Amino acid sequence: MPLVGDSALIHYGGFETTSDTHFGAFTPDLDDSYKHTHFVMRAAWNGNVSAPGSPNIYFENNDAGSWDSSASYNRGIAWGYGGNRYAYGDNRQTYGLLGPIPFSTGGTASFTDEVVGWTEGTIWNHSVSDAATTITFRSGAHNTASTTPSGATTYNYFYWGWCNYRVATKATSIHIGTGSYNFVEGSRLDLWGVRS
Amino acid sequence: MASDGLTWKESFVVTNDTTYTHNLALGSAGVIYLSCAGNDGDTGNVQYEYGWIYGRVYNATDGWVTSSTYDFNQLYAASSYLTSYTSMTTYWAYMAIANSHVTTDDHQWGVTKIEYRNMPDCGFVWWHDEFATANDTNTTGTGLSNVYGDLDTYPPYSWIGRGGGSEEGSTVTATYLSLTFTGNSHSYYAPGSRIDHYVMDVG
Repeated sequence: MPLVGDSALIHYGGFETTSDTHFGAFTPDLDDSYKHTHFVMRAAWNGNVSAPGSPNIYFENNDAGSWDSSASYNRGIAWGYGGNRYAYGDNRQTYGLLGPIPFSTGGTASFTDEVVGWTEGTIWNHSVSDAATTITFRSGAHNTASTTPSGATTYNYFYWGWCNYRVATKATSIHIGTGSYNFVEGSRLDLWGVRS
Repeated sequence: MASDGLTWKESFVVTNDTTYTHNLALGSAGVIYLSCAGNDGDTGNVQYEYGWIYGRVYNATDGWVTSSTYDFNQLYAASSYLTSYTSMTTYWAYMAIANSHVTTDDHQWGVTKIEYRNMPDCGFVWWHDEFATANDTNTTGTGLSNVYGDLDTYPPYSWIGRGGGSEEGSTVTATYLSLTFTGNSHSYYAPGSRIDHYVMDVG
């Protein structure tokens, strides 16, 4: 049992790519000691694409051994760049979304290219078997040169939003990534349990 | 002396059908995680899948501060565009969101992460950068034109928001924050609603 005065946030996971082709998705277990998990990710995709791309979110349903890709994800996101602002949402999709992160240069990527994305937020109620799991997040995408190697213009976006896994179950693992691109070297995800 | 920074202070979990308010003993600074819903035994209102959780502060000199000295501003998306909202007239300030368990599935919870600063000898300020209702009935409410839970269409009130507010009616430092749930034909928190409170060492 926690005692008054105990630390609120307990670090239980840190994962980092060691090369530009190490992996394309973070797939950590979620510690069921905690109702909620606080997370921070810094990352960029290894690819030559102008528009930032969202990581796909999947959850594992109660140690099922596979990612749940049923139509169980509700999504809401708001974003802006320059003088523009937008919002978007839908429901009953086959995967969730976080805010997009930028692409670095294909094959020669690293954070030294001054391209980075970040996401910070909360995974709510993931260990509660009779509740849905919800992510709230904020994120940003930064590209100092504002161009890709191919010359396409990029933008520095800011996003915030919501990703809701509608199944009333204990979500035992989370997938943050894509099957199409790898993260660049040094991309990192950290998880902290919120004590209660 | 160094400390752990943010530390656990209290977890309040609703266990009955008759709880509508809870008072938190405030620190100088803190964080509040709320995962809340309205009781499915309430009448509810099919037009709304949410209910506000309102806040009010207390100190021993002023009592409950009921003057209209609370300000609240929010940028939010409940559809395919962003909207702003300001309220400067209420003395029950908007602070957090709860799902309706009357009009939506009872496994969905409204979530809000509040951060606050409790000013010495004056007011109280708070902000929530993580704020969302959830709904996935995939049905169209009576009198509505779109399914609940689809943020890109209007008027279902699945929404995301970020905002904050302030209170300037206290003459001394606030000692309690009352978080009360009511409105949209709701009167009580659903069992399982939880308020987790953490306080921050400010030196």
